[in-house]
Amino acid sequence: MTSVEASDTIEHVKGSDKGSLVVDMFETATRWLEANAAHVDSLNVFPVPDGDTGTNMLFTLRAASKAAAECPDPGIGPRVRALAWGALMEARGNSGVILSQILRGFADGIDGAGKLDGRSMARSLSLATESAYKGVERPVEGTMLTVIKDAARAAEESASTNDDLEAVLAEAAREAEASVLRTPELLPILKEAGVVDAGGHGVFLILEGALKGLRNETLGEAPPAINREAIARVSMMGGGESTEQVYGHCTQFIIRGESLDSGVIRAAVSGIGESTVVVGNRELVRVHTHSFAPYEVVDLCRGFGEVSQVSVQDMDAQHGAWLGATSDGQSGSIGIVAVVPGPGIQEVFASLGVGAFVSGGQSMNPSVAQIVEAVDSLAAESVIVVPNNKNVVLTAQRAAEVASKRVEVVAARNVPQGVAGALAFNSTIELDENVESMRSALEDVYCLEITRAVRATSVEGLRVREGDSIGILNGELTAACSEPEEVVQELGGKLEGLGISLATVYCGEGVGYDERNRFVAEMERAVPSLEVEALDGGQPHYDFIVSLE
Amino acid sequence: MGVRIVTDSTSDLPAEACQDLDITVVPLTVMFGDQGYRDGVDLSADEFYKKLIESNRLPTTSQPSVGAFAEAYKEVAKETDEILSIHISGKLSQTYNSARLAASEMEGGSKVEVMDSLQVSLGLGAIVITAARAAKDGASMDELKQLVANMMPGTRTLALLETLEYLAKGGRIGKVQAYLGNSLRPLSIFKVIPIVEVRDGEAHPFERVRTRRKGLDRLIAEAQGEGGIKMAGVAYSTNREEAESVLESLRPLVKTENLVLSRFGPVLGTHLGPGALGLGFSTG
Repeated sequence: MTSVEASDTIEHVKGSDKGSLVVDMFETATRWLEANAAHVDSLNVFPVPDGDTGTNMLFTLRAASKAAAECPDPGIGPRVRALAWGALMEARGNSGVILSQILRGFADGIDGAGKLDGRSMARSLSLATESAYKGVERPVEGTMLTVIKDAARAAEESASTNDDLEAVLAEAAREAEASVLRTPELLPILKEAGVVDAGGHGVFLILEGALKGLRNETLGEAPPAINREAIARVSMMGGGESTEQVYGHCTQFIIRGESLDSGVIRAAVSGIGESTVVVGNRELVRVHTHSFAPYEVVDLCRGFGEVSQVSVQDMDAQHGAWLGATSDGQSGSIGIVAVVPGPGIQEVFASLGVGAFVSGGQSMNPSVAQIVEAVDSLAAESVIVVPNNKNVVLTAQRAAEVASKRVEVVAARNVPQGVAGALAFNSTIELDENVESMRSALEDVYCLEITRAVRATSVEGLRVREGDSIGILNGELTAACSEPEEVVQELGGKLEGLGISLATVYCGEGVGYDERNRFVAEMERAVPSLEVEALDGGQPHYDFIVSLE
Repeated sequence: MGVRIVTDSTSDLPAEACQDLDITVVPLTVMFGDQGYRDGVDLSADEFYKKLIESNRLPTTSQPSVGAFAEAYKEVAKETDEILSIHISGKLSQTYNSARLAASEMEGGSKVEVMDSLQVSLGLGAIVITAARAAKDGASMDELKQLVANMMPGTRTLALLETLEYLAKGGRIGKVQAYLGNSLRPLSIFKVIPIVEVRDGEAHPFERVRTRRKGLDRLIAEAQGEGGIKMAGVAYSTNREEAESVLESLRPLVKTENLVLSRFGPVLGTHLGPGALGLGFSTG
C-alpha cells in the first residue's frame, strides 16, 4: 500500500503524490471499516436481523476508495472528485447516503484547496458536515451527523494553531470517538437499547482508519477503542432528549441553472421554510423544505434558475391544480421501479403494473447505481421509484437526482405502503397526478412486521428475549412473544382499534403451511369481520409482513 | 306530432320507463356459439347470467343490423316524422354506424337524426330519459340535440368489476389494459377490484381497490363529490341487494323520480361479467 513513510515525509509530498496519499488513506480506512463492519452492524436499536449500517457504509466507502484509486488523473482534485462520485453511485441505505454526502463535502474542500494539509483537512471536514446535514430531511442529533460535526470542530481548533495534517486528523478522530460515546445521551432510544449510534461509530472508524493510513500503521495492532465494554458504560449514564418539529407542507423541487450557489439558495429558502435542505452542484440543485407557504418558496427560487419537479405533500385540491398547471410533467409513458425483498412480493408488484425490480430491502439495501440501472432498463420517459423500505428511501432519492430520466420517488417505507402506492398507479394519467395519488395512498395502510429478535434487549420498556418473535407495528416494536400468533394475540386490541377490514399477509421464506394457517386464524380471531388474505412473499428474515387497511 | 326518441339496448333502461316515455329500444345481439339472442328480448337477464357463468365459451356480441334499425325507424315514423336516435359510443360498438346507415336510407318525409352519446349503460340511459322527457314536453329537434350535447360532458358512468377477465376477452378493454399489469400470471393471486370509467367514449382505468366494500364506498363518494346531480342510476349484473344499498345512499343526492335501478343487459354483461356494479349520473 502506501509508499509514504513516517510523518516527516508527508510534509514534503505535493501534487500528484498527495493524490496517491489520499488513495492510501481511504484504502486503509476501508480495510479498517471492513474489519469492524460486523460490530457496527450489531449496533442496532431494534433487535431485528437487518442491522447493516456497517455493511452499507463499507460498500459505499469501498466504491469511493476504488473510484479514487482508478482515477486516471493522479492530481488530488480529480482523485477526490472521483471519490465523491464513486460514493454517490454506490451509496446504500441511509447511512451510506449520508456518508456519500460527507465525502462530497470533503471532496469540495480538498479540491477547492488543491492540497492536503492540516488546514485543508479541517476545512474539508467542516464542508463534509454541512453537506451531511444538508443531505438529510430532518437532521437528528446523536447520529453520524453529530459525530462528523464534532470531529470537524476539533479539527478546526487544531488547525488554528498548526497546519500539521497528522495532528489535525488525530484530533478529529479523538473527538469523533468521544462523540460516539456521547450519542446515547442525545438519543434516549440508543441508551435504552444499550448501544451507541452505529453510523456515528462508522464515521469514527473511517477517520481512525484514515489516520492509520496516513501513519502507515499496520492494521490489527490496536483493537478499536469503542468496544462492548465502553458502550455498556456509557449506555448506563443519565439522559437527555431530542425533539424536533416539522412545519407546513413538505416541499421539494429541482433548480437548473448556471453557477448556482447552494448556500445562497439555502439561506433564502430558510427565511420561509423549516428544516431546509439544499443539495447539488452548480448546474443542478435539489431543494427540500417544510413551509406554510410552499409556493412562495417555489416563486422565490425561480429567481435562481429553472424550477422543475415541484412536489408539495399534503396539498389541497387547489394546490394540486396549480401544480398541474405549472409542472413540466407530460403525458408520456410512465414506468415504475420497485425494490422488492422476495419473489412473491415481486409478483404482486408485477401484477399491478410495475415494470422493473431491484432485489433488496430489509437485509440487503440496493445501491444508487442498481436503482439507476433499473430506471434505465425501462423504455418509459419518466419513472416512479417505490423503495418499499425506510432504509432505501434516501438511496432512491439520490438515484432520482443522478438518473438521466425524470424520476419521482414515492417514499413507501414498507411493502404494504408500496403495494398501496402501486395500486393507486394509473398509467393513463399524468405523472404529477400519479405521484400525488400514490403518495396519498401510502397513508391508507398500516404495516405489521413479524421477525425474530437476534439478541435480548429492551426497547421503550418492552423486554425482548433472544429468539423472540417480535411484532413491529408501523415502525415501532410493540410486542415480543414466543410465536408469531402470540404476537397477534398480544396486539389484538391494538389491531381492532385501527378500524381495519382487510389484512394481506405476505409469508416469508421458509414459513410452513401450518405456521401460516395458525397465523391467519389468529388474525381472524383478533379482529372479527377482518378479511384475511395470505400469499407467498418469499422475503427473508421476516416471517410475516402484514398489510392492514 | 313531437320528436320521438330511439336508443339501443345498451342504455339498460327499465322497460316501464321506456313505455312511459315512448322510447323505442333496438336490441343488440348476444351469441352463445352459433345461437343468437336479441338483448333483453329473446333472453332474460337471469337466463343470460346463468348461461354466462355456466358456459365454457364466452359469448360474443354484435350490433343491430342496419335492417333492424330501418325497421324500427319505419315503425316509429308511423307516429312522427322526426326521430332522434341516441346511441352507445362508437368507440365501443358499431351500433351507431348501423343506425347512421339506416337513417341515411330512410325514405319518405321522415327525418332521423343519429347522435353518438360517447356513453353507455346508465350514462346513455340518463341522456335518453332526459331527452325523452323534453320531447314529451314538446321540445324541437334542435332543442333536443342541443340538450343532449349539453348533457354529454356532465355525464359519467363508473363500474366496479369483480374481474377484468371479461373486459379483456371481449376485446373492449381499451385503456383499462393498464390494469392488467406486467404479471406473468394475468389473473394474479393478489386480488384487486378494478373500477373503470367511461369517458370520451371509451373505458378508462379509474381506480383499483382491495375490497368490494371500499370500491362501493369509492363509487358513492364520487357521486357525493359531484355537485347538482340531476339523474342517477345504479346497475348490476348479478347482485341486486348490493345495487339497492348503493341506490339508498344516493337518495339524499337525487330526486326519487330521477333515480333508476337497473340491470346490465346481456351485451354489457358479456363485457363486464358477473359481479359488476355500475353507477351513472348526469349533472347536465
